[in-house]
Amino acid sequence: MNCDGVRELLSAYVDGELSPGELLRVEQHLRRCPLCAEEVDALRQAIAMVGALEEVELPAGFREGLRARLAQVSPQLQPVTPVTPLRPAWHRQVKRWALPAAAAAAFALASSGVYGQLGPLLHRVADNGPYESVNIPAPDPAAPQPKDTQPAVVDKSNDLPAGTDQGLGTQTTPPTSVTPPAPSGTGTKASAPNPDQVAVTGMNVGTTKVASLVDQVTAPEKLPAQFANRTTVQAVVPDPGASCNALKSSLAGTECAIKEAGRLVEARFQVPVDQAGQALLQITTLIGEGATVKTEGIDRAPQLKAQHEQLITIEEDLAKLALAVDTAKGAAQKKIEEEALARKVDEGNKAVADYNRLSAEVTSQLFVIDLQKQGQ
Amino acid sequence: MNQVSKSLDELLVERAKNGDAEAFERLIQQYEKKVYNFAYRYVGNPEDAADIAQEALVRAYTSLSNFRGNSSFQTWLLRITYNACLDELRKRSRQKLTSIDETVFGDEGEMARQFADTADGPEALVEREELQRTVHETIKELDDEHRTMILMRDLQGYSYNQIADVLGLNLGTVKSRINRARQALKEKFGNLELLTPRVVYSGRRGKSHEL
Repeated sequence: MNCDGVRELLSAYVDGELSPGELLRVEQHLRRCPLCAEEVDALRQAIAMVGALEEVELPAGFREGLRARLAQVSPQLQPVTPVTPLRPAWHRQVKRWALPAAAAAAFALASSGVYGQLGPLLHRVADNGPYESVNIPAPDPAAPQPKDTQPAVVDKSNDLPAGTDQGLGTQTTPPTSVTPPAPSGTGTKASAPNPDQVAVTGMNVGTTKVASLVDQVTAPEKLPAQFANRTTVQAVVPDPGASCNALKSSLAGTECAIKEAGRLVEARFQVPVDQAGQALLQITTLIGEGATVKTEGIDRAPQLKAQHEQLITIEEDLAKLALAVDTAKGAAQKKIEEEALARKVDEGNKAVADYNRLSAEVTSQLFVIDLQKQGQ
Repeated sequence: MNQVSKSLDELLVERAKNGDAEAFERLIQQYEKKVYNFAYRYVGNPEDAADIAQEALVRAYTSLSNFRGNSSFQTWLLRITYNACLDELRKRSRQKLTSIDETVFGDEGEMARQFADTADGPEALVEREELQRTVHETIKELDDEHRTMILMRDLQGYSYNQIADVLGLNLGTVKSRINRARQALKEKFGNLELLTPRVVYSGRRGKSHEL
């Protein structure tokens, strides 16, 4: 095939820069010539690769350097220290320059936050198979790592022993150990049976579960009311730690405790009754399908009794303390008074001594006068 | 370039000519990145590119009164940038005469920073980064004339007319230079096996060239 006169037009053809006559000629030729068609294809690929080069950002200090150089050639474009903007127009401009960088930073922050919290869950919805490891920043890197939660805490870089049934890249963010809210009193007695504890049974080896408990307190006072509703949401999720953390951030502002026992991770939220529906909705949305939801009424009498007893103990302690303080106070006061008394006695003694001395002088003077009288 | 931003440019140029510093700042703000990117791809390393881009923008400021508005501000600025690039190359060739040891410009840091914040997985990231680096290096290896054409046309998307205007060439010359530049680029990509050969069917009328 005679490709002469056509080949050198192909580049302009790709750009649509041919005259109508040239275009007609090239198109007719391309229909018959696979080699030239392939050439067009290769050209387009090469152009696309250049076009796919990403725009690089200005290097750090570029604008400052430019400003300094501009200031050299024109006093009108003086660089202004950020503290004392002398020229309003320039100052406004500085702000405008600064804005995109700040906005970008804020966006990166927000998106990484969202990614860290919701990314894994969204990922899971899309794929229920073995969970791909997604690095979720631990909410508190300083939080102590639980030691006995086998395979829950798995760093992707750690090699799992072959045959670990839970291997599958399951990764759990170390749970933040949150002490349950003080009024519930559960945090103080670690070994005592917790009246709020819901036994989640049916744990199979090879699954991980997250159980979420929503305690709906019937009165929003500080102390929980005697009767409350508890809603238990149970679901098997690939990464309970991450799910719990997502729940925690989703229900920010409520009292939350996360516990981990083997494969079971339990997140407990305590919300006022008027917010319970909303909270439950958020939880089921986050945990997703396959969750079982169970609501039961609970009587908090034993818990309240324990709290009452604790309160009485504290009050007794307080009374004792007050007594001790009073005693100490009295002793101190007594001591002060004694010291004051001693000081007064000293002063009195001194006064007496002075009096004695003065009277002695007076007596002796009187005696002298008497002698003079007698002499006369 | 659309009509709105063109007239905005004209307005800003007019005001900048009359001594409005803020107007000139806005012009810079609009084009500094494009200027820097052209210089970066032309000389190949960020340090020189920053220097060239700053130089070009300063020159634009000092010679603004000479700008007649016969071409757009953008192409005028491109010409200044291109000339600043040429000056840098001349400076380098002079240095080459005096010094045999050429500085090897390490721009890995720049590339790494550039791609560090993408959302892809690590493998895709590395792959993409490699491809970007390869394309960058390939362009860098082109001879000056070819590189100029590829950057103006295929990287920054200037029209044939604009390029002819910037370089002071007629349209036919621009056409053939772009063609030659792309041939050179295609050959380099081909040698690196970056192009996918495709089977082209000529059976159906009007389809073959659309592949």
